[in-house]
Amino acid sequence: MINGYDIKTLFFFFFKVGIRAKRAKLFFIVSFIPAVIFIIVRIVSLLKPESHYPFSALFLQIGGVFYFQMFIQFLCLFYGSSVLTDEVDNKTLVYLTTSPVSKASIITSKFMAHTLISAVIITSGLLVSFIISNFSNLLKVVYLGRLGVFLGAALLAVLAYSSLFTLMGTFMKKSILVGLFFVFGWEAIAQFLHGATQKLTIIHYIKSLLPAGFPGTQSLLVFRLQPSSTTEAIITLLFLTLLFLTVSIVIFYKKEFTLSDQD
Amino acid sequence: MESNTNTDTVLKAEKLSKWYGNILGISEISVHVKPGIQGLLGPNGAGKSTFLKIASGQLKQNLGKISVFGEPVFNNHTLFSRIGFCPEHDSYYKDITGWEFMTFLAKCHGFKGKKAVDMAGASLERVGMTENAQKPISAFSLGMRQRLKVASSIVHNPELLILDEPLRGVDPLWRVKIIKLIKEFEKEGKTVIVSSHILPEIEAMTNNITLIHQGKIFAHGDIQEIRSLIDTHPHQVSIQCKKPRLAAKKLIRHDFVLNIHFDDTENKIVIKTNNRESFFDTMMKIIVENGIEVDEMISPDDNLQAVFDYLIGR
Repeated sequence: MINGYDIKTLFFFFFKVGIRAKRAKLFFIVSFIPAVIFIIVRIVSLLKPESHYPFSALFLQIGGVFYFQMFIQFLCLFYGSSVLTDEVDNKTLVYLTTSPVSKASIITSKFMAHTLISAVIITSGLLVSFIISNFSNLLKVVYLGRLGVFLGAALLAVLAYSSLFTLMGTFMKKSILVGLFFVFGWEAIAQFLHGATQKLTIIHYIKSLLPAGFPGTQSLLVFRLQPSSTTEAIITLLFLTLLFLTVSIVIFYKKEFTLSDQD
Repeated sequence: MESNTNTDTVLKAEKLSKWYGNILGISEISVHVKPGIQGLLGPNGAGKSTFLKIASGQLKQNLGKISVFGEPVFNNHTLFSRIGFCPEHDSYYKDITGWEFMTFLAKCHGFKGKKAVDMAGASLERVGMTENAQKPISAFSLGMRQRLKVASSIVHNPELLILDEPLRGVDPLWRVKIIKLIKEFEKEGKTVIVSSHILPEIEAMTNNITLIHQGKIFAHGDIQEIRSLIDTHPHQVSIQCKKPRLAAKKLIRHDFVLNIHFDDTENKIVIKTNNRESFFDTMMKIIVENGIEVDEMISPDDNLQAVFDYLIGR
């Protein structure tokens, strides 16, 4: 069903197409917003030496919330749902489905390409923001470890959200709208509920992986959090990714896509 | 298309029906396509593209059966190493060059390294796109994109070529060259199914045509028979000129002119004729010999829809 050469061909093609698009450049710029804020705060703190800014806390309050509560979801919503909808909307799907490549290869490779693009955009912004905000503590092992945790959690988040939105894109016409409602409606509320309800969100498992806070700090990210264990969170996120991707492939095989009005 | 079954049948459709919600796409189409060029002619909305989309595995029929090279088409991706498809719509990847697109498709068809490059180069050359191949597709004209689409369908040298309106938007010079290319495929013993809503286009490629109308096969066979039916179709020709009454006087004596309607306010006459060719030959002579300045000459019902309406007696 899945051929290695097909996957490689399709992956490099979609990565090339995706990374050249204006959308990628725009998202790349947006990913550095927290870094710009931290630079401004650094300059202000240099001009006003009497003020003490807790930069580590600032990273969690601004950077953490920006990346883990908003930007990852937003980015994955666009890249995940576009795995199939872009091909249908631009009527380019026909070139893929009339080539001797399996539908499983098409979905898998384009998902991989878009996930890599999302990951590159997220990790670049996250890394630079972390370095700027924790500049004086970078050589401390605890901070380097936390950087690794942030990057790892971000990658798992990209996988889980991208696969969910890929699935939505395979069977919904308004997948962006539904995705926005899911992320900024359901997840925004359910993650703060006690008990099992919070486990019906992806963000719960991502937040479970994140540090509770740097020494002496608290973060909006961990507000009312009853975290799952790290193992449970990682397994759940990987399982969801596989599940969503598999269902996407099954739907792609079952569904027919009308690319234009009948003639 | 043939009604009997033979071992060399490339495409076989049995009572194929497809509808989109309440709208009928095609109804009970049964055809057998053998090697050679098969023209599919019908007005817009007749069901040509629906049939070709089912034949190329993009759509699944609601009723009936279809096989290509003896195999089912839908979800049978391995079959597409033998089929080339040129879609009707103007669709392309915006941020890549024509060359990148073609090498990608060659690789999708399993060609590797230099072979993929050679296959992409050869197909681009056949449609005269070698020089422009390094430009982004978004910078191509409609005609160039159309030629690229044709190249994309032949990159793997398929045994069956399905072309949905391949000449749409192509300039006259390349129209002739693409028709020649299609004929070359036929000479190589391959099968080409080509659709159009323009009779002369199909006529230039093949004598073997199928007329499709309102989702059903209306007639199939030799194009000359269809042509003779069309030639006896009473045509209306509207002429706006400086001397309409003189033109009418000269025309009315010919028996192929059925009637003439005058519109003095616009210096216009509308002539009904049952012999299109004789009418135009004579009209040209009258214009030249009498120095009549013609502002406009149009044939309002000179389209396939009008011909079909005539043929089905509406």
